[in-house]
Amino acid sequence: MGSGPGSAGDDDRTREVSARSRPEAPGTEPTDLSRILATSESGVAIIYGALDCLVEEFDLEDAFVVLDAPGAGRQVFRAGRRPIATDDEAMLHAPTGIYTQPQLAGNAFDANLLLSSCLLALRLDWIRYDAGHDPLTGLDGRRSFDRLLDMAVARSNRYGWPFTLVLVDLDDFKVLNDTFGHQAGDDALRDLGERFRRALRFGDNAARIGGDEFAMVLPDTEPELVPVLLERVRTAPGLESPCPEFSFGTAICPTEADDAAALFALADQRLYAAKAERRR
Amino acid sequence: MNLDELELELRRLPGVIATAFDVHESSIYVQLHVAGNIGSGPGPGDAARIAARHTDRPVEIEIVRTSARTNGAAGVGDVRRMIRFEHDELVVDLASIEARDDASGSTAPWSSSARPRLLAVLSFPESDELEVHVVHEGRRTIGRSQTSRGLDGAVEATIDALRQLGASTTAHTRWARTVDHDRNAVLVAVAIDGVVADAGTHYGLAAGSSPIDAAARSTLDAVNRRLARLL
Repeated sequence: MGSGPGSAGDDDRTREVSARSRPEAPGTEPTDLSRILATSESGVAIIYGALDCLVEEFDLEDAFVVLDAPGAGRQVFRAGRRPIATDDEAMLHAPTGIYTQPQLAGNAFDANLLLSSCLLALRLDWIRYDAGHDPLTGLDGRRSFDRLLDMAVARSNRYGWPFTLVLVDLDDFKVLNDTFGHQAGDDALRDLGERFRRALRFGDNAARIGGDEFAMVLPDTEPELVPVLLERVRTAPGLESPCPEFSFGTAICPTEADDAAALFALADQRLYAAKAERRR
Repeated sequence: MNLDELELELRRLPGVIATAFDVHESSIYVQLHVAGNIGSGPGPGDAARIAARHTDRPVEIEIVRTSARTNGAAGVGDVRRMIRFEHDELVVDLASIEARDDASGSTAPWSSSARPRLLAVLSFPESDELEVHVVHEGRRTIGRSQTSRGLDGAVEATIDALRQLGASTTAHTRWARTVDHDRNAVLVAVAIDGVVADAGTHYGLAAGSSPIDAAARSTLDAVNRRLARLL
């Protein structure tokens, strides 16, 4: 599909709209973009909103935005999130820009504004994602987990939906770091994170909440099933290295505690009791 | 399900250039365009695991790999001639299995969409655990039994999941048998007593991708119409 600037002779159904262009008659475009920026809840939504707005405004068949975002690499978006067919695949390697089908005149809309907005939107999403996730394991970070735990407690108190909070702590993590170096410690954390990702069920959540501490929220899971689940973590398929040793403590909401702090304290207390028992 | 969150997480996978979705009522198709050859970048398993964290619908993952990078200054037409696309993987990963409970016929106001639906049947032989995941009006429950109990276990786990939805029933298996099977499907019939008091035996028949999957579907086929009114 399409042709880029200066590629005469190619299929010209789609072309890049010059990023240097300025609208002669802005029409409703800035207003619509402002509305999208103001009402969308994520950067991805802003990008699709802008593309869909473009398609609607100019009665287009299709529109793409191609971005090279720092830290995100090449990213291509198609209006409507539609699958990219063989005819459209060239767009994946097209230069940064906005592409429409049929092609629009360079001054039909402010491509520079639209492109900048999309780039900024994607950057914001990336930053938001990084803020909520642990970079080492890819699991939720402490902030996301606290929010998740608060929501789970609220739901449990309101609807009576039980869940089990599990705190997990690597055994002898300091010894591992001191003996084999911090790289080995990081590898162990990464390995355990991957095991959680592979072994947990839909609806379960795991997070890295501290140095070598992980936490899980397991909806509708009785505590006697937790060892079964953790055994599944230990024997997660597709991982060759032996699972790092860990201890855990549990607390049930709402039967044992019905607020996040008390749940956490109870699980923490049991975790350290398990660690003490292990050392004996 | 938040499609934005899912898309963002998929785009975080190394090498992913573009994502696309086709959302149906009963499943979601996810297309990932990945730069690099087979073996590099994410595989369908990675994408399926992410998708399964965001939705409880069945997910189809298609990975399309592009094997060459191009000069960013090239025109699109040039680009098209320079790259070679490998459509190397067409992988359907059923993270969960949609129920086929509409076969039992609907009686207003309990339309098939308002009945409990089967999401997944999971077996963990190493821990002798069998899980049946059921959803009803947005609420998901997990019924449990033992893998070693075979078809009976799948029936019991399904009834357990229905009980957790609030169905007050003393339903229990009378029998469960494999009626027929071929390479792609298994047909299972079940007879269940005690669905509701004095109602006699309820029978169900359904096909599934495995014996336990078919048994869970047959159980829903047998009891859904009755129990949906009690939920």
